[in-house]
Amino acid sequence: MRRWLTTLSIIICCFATVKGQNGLGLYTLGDAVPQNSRLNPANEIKGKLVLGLPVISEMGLHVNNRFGYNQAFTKLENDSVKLDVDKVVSHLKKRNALLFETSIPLLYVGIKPEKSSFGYSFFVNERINVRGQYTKNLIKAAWEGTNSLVGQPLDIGKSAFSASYFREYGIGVNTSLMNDDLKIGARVKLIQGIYNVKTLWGMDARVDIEPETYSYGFLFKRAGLNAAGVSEDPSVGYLLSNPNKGAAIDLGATWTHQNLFSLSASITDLGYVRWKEFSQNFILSDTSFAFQGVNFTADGDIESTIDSLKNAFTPKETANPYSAMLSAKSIVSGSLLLGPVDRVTVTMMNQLLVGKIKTAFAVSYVKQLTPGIVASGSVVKLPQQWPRPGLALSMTGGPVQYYIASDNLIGFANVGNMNTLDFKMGVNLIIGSGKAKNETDLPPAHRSKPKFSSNDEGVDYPTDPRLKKPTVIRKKDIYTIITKKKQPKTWKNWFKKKKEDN
Amino acid sequence: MTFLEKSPFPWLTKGALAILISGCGINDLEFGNLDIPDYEPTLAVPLGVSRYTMRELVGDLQDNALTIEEGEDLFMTIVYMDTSYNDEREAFLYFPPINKSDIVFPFVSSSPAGETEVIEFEKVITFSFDAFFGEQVDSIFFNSGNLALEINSRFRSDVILEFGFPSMFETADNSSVSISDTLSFGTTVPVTSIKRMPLGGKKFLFRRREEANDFDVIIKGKVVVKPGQSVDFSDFFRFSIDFQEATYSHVHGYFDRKEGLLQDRTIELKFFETFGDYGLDFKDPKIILKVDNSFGFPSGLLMNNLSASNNDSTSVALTGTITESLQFVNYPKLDSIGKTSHSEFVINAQNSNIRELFGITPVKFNLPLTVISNPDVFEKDYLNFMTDSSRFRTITVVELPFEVRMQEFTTNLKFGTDEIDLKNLQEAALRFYTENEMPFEGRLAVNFADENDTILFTVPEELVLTAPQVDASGRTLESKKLLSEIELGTEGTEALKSADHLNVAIIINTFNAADEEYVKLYADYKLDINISVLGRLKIKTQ
Repeated sequence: MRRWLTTLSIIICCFATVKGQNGLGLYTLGDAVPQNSRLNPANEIKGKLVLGLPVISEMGLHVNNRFGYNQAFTKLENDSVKLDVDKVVSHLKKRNALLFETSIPLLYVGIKPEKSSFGYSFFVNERINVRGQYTKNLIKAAWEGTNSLVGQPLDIGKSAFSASYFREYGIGVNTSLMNDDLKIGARVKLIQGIYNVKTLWGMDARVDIEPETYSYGFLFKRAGLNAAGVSEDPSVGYLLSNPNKGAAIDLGATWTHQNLFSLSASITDLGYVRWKEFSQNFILSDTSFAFQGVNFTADGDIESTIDSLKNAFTPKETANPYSAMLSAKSIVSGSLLLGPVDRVTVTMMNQLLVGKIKTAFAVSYVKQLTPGIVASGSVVKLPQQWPRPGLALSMTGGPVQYYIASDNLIGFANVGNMNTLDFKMGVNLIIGSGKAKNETDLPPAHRSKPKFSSNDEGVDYPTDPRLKKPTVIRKKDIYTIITKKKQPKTWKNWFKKKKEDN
Repeated sequence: MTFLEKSPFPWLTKGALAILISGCGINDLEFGNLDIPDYEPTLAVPLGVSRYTMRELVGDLQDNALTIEEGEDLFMTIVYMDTSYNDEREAFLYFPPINKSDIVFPFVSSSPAGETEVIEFEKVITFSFDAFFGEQVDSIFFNSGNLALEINSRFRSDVILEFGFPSMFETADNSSVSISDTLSFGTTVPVTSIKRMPLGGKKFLFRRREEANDFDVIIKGKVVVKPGQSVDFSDFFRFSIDFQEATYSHVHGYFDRKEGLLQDRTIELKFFETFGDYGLDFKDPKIILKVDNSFGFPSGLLMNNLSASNNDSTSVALTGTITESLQFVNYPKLDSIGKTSHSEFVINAQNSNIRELFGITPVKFNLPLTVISNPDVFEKDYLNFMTDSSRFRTITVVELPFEVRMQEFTTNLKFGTDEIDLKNLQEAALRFYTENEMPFEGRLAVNFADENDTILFTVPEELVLTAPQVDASGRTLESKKLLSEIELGTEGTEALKSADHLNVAIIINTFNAADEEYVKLYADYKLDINISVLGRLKIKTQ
C-alpha cells in the first residue's frame, strides 16, 4: 500500500508538472480552433482544408487531483524529500477525485467544400482516460491502519477507478440550418481498446468496525475488478488491432438568437468498448459477514479463522468479456453576444464519476483581438477545485494556426502547490480560410456589412436575405424616402441608443 | 462600456503568457533522494468472541456422567451420578464346601451257613461343620449341584444301604429325601459304589449350634449273607458325602456382624478442572446415597471415610453428624425374599462439612462406604437370609444446585506465544467488551513469563466483568456492559515479544460475596465476551 501511494503521488505530481488539457477555456474559442469539435461537433470547419498534424496538433493533458507536490512531499535539510502521507491525508476531503486525460492526435483532416453548408472531418486519436474517486477514509485506513475506521464506516463503494487506453477512428459532419442560426454536428467513432482496468460499476462494498469490539462487518455486492490487456506483453499486432472493439458518438448543436445570445449543447464519448482480448475479471462473491475473530464458543482456532477470512476475500477469476462505457461528457453553454468581436460565455460541463455527476463551470470573455488572433479569459471552476483564472489564445498567420490554453493560470506561479492542470497547445494548418475565416468565427450579425443591390426604384436592397427589405414611404425627385434603417440588434447598439435617448 | 472598447485583453494575455513561459518552478519538484517513511499503521483487530448462556457454559464441561437439571424457573443444578454394585455375598456368609466322610461299623457277624441270612442295622451319623465368623446357617435352598455319595464296603456279602437325610427335603412338598444303594459282593473287597442325587429343588436344614452347624444322616442297612459267606464284627463300610458344585437360591441363618465395603469408589468430577481452583462455594451441595438392598439382614452404613481432593492434592475429609453414627439400611424381610428395599442417605450442609469439600473445587471424591451386617443391636437368633442374587446397588448422586458464592474465585490459564509473530509490534492494548447477565464480576490478571516461568512483566489487574444487581427472587435485573482496556505500553509490549507464555488469571466475585450472599445461576443467563487488540506496528521501508 505504501508503495502504491508513493507511486501514485509521484505520477500525479509528475503529470502536474507537464502541460495540460480538457479545456473549458479553449472551448470558449468556439470553432476558431478545430480541436474544439471534440467537445462540440457542431463547430464549423473554418477553411476548405484543415490539417491537424500528428502529435503537435494537440499536446496537453488534464489532471485534477486533490493535492499537489507540496502537499505530498516535504523537503528535508539534507536535500532529500520525504513522502509525507500524513500531510496528504490532512489535505483530503471526504471524497476526492482523480482525473487524468490526455490525447495524442495521429491524424485530423477537416474539409469544408466550397458552396456547401456541410463540413466533414476525419480523425484518429490515441486517448488515455484515468478517473477515480477515493474517500479520505480509504486512504486513512490504508496508511494509518484500521483503527481510523473505528466507528466510521468505510464505504468502499464510494471509491472507484477506471483507466483506459484506446484509439478512436472517427468521421464527423456538421452543417448549419435556419440561415446559420442553428449549427448541428455529429461524430461517429470506432474505438479500438488497448488497455483497461476498472472497478465494477455499481459496486457496493462496506467495512464497519464496531467501536467496542473491533469486530468487522463486511458487505460486498458487485465488488471486483475488470482488466484487459494488462496481463500480457502487448505485441505490435495487438496494439494496432485486436478484438477489443467499441463505438461512440459525439453530438452537438449551437443556436444563435437575433444576434443577442447563443446556446450550445453537446454530448461526447457516448459509447462503450467491449473488452474481449486478454480480459480478466476478479469478482468477489456477493456476501455480507461479520468477522469477530476466533469463535471461542465453537472451539475455533486462529488458523481456520484466518483461512475463512482469506476465502471470503479471494476473488473468483474469469476471462469473460465485459463492456465498459467511455467517459461521456455533456457541455451546455450560453453566450451573451456583446459585439462583433466580443462575447461572454458561461459553460457547464458534466461528467459521470462513480455514479455522481461532476460539474465544471467556466465564465469566459472572448474577444477577437485582431483578424488573426482570438483570445479568451476565463474563470474556471473544476470539480473539487477553487475557481481559477484561465486563458486561451488562438493565433493565425497564413495557413498556420497556433493555439494555447490553460484553465489554471496561477498554478504555474507555484507548481509545487498545483493540484490541477489543464493545458493544451497545438499547431494546425488551415487552408482556404481567408478573411471569411475570422468573419464566420463570429455570429452572423457581427460579420461584415452585407452588400446591397439597387432595384428599379433606386433602393438598395440587401443581398443578404437575413436583412429586412426597406419600406418605401414616398418618392421625392431623385430620392426615395424609406423607413429609417434599423441598426443591427446588438447589446452595443442597445447601449448606444440608451445613451442618445438620455 | 469603456472596458469593452478598450479591452484589457492585450495586457492580460501578455501577462499570462509571461507567467506560462517564466520557469514555472518545475525544477523545484524533486523526486530523487526520496525518503519513504516507515509504515506504522495502528490496527484494530478482533481476537475472538465467546457467547455463552449459562446452560451452554455448564454444558461444555465435558463430563459424560454429568447432567444439568433445570427447574421450571430455569434454575440449574449439576447432577453427577454414579452407580456401584456389591454382590460379594461371601463377605457376609462364608458357606464352606460340605464334604464329609465316615466309617460305619454295624458290628454284626454271621458264620457261614447253609441258608441266606439277612442282618439289618441302623446308624445315625451327625456331621458338623464350623460356623465361620459366628455364622449359623439355618437352611439352604439349593439351586443346582449334586450330592455325591461314595460307599466303600468291606463286607464279603451283599449290602443294601439306605441313606436318609432328615435335614433334607424336597422344597416343593417337604417330602423326605434318601439315597439307596446295593453293593454286591463279588470275589474281592472293597466293593465300591457312587450314587449322585441332584440337589436342585431341595432344601437342607441345619441344626444351629453355638460354634457349628450340624446335620444328621440315618443309615439303614441290610447285610445279605449268602450260603458260604460270613460277616465279621470288624467288617465296615466307608462312605463320603460331597455337595458337588452346589449352588443355592437362598440361605437362611444368622450371618453375624461383619464389616464389608458397600463400595470403594472414587468419582472424578472433571468439571471442576474447568471451574478453577479456590473460592467457589456452593450454598447447598448434597451427596445422596440411594441404596437398593436385597440382602435379608439388617445393616448399617459408615460414612466416616469420605473425602475430596483437588488438583493440588489438598484433601478434606467428610465430618459431621452423618459420619458419627451408623446409617441403617432397609432390608427385605423373610416374607420378601428376592425383593429389594430402598434407603436414601443425604449428606448435606446441615449434617456435614460438605461445603468445605466442594470449596476446594475437588476433582476427586473418594466415597468408600462401609457396611456392617447385623449391627450389635440385633439378637443372634435373628434370622437372616441371602439369595443367589442378593446385592447392594448404590447410586451416588452429587447434587450441586447453582446457588453459589465466589469470592476471589480464580481460574488460571496459560497461553503460549510461539505461533504469534509479534516482531513488528510496537505497542498494544488489549480490549475487553463484555455483556454480562450473570451475577458476578471478574478481573483479569495477566503476566508475561519466560521459559523458566520468570515473570517479565505484570499487567495491572483490570475489571472485565461487572455484576448486575439481583432482585428479590435472586434473578439479575439487566445485563451489564463493560468496556475495559489493558494498555501494555512500550515496556509491556517488549516483554510480550520476548515472552514464552502468558499467565492469565480470571478472578471472579459473585454479587455481594463478601456479605456471605449466595447467587443463583439460571440457565438463560448470557455472557458475551469480545476480546480485541489495538496494535501499533512499525514496518521498516528502507
